[in-house]
Amino acid sequence: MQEQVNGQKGLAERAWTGAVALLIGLKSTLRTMFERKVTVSYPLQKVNVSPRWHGLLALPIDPETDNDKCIICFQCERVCPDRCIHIEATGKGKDRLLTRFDIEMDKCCYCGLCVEVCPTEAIVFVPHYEASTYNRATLLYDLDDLHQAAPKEPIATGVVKVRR
Amino acid sequence: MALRTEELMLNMGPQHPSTHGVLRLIVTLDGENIVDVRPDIGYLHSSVEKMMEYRTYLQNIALVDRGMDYLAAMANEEVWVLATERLAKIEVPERAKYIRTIMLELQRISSHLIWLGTFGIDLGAFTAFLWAMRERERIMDLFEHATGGRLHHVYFRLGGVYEDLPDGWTAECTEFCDYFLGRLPEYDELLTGNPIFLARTQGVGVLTTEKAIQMGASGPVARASGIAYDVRKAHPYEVYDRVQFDIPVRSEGDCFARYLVRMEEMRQAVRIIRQCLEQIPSGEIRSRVAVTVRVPKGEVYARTESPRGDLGIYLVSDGGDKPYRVKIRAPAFSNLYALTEVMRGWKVADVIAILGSTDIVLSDVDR
Repeated sequence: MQEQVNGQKGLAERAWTGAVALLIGLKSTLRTMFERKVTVSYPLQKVNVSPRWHGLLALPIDPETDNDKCIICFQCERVCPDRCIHIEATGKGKDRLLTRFDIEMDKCCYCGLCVEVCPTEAIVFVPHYEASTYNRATLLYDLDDLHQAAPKEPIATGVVKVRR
Repeated sequence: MALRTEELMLNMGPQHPSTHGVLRLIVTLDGENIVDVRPDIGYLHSSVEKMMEYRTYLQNIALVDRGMDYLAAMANEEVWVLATERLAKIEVPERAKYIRTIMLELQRISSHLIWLGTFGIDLGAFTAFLWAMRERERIMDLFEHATGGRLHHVYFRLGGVYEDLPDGWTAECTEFCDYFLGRLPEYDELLTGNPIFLARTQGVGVLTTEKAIQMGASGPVARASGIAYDVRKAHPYEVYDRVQFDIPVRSEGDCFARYLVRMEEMRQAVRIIRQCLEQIPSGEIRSRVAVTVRVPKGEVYARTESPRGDLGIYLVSDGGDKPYRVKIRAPAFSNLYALTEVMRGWKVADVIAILGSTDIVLSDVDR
């Protein structure tokens, strides 16, 4: 059962085939050495993320109203599979005020369902992905954090738009 | 004077570098020969089937991505949306079907590349791993541009896909196909003709056709044992009945046959992607489905050909917005047990080769 494949061949023949195969392999690796490098030294160089990148979440400020676009419909809270969004509001009708909008970023699975269901594009993905921290409590993003995290131009929204 | 000998019990794993995850193999050895192998699984059990009962049909797409086979997230999404769509009778637009097929085949190549790289490492060919990762990175970029995620995409939706392909994606994908086919002969130079690689794989761990059927092996493992069965041909889903492709079958059943089958499958995947890119129509990508869809009462079994084999989901609905019961038929589970059966009688070094050729993902085995 355990008969060696090369068992019948002589030592010289085996050495010869081994040497030839080694040369063929070395030829391929040598060719690769002169190709363009595909790696980047990560903390120093960074690769651009795509416009649809599922990065951190944010509530960008709308310059017209100087506030975020959230209409407190609780849809993102309901659709979240990990239940990491917590929203609270006071008042009725037009006086409705957002008092709490917390995202537990350590629970988030970056599925993007909240971005998809948001009717006003209030919650968006931002191209940041480096959220590592020494303290888990800092991963609880409150309303201020989410406002500040937003870039000038949101990159990924629930509605398909013309993209560069 | 005869030496007293006794059998030795050896634990391989769960932290062994070549067990591909947290798998413990309890190997009973007589000298260097294997008397018995018992896999001890369950280290990665995450009770996905139970968790799915507490999530809506939409939320489960995000769950099957990471709860099941994490190297082939698209294949998991596909089997889940396929089961739900069949039960809820949701129509899928033509364009979405083509997009799904392209994504599934890209995922197959990406998963096979991981297997190729780790198989190379197991047998001492480190270069193959680095090269496979280089090619896989191109696929990850394609996924990232289209879906936003690299490993866990959450791209398929009930009744279509989330977003249309971005501008220039088709050209990028065509370019990748050409690039990849140009790269594959390098692997032939490096591995297929290598005497060391051949000596470690050829004739090792022969899984006979009868044994493969008995143990329920599927996918490339079964096809390397002479079973010409592929769910894509037998029960076509998406647009697999509209594209031309061959199923690679080998009759040897050894580790080298499994290697050859997977290498040929990657070429066939490129062939499918090219045909899909040619035929893809324009139009809708998603039919209207409510966020909390209520699936009518009933049960359904959907099966797909994941990179590892016959992946099925048995879904029971009681008419609510969450599934009543989900049973996942994982291909890696059956393949693992089929190949630990054939390990008996081989040397301890062959365990690594046989296990590496199985292409198991422990998240898929344990679920």
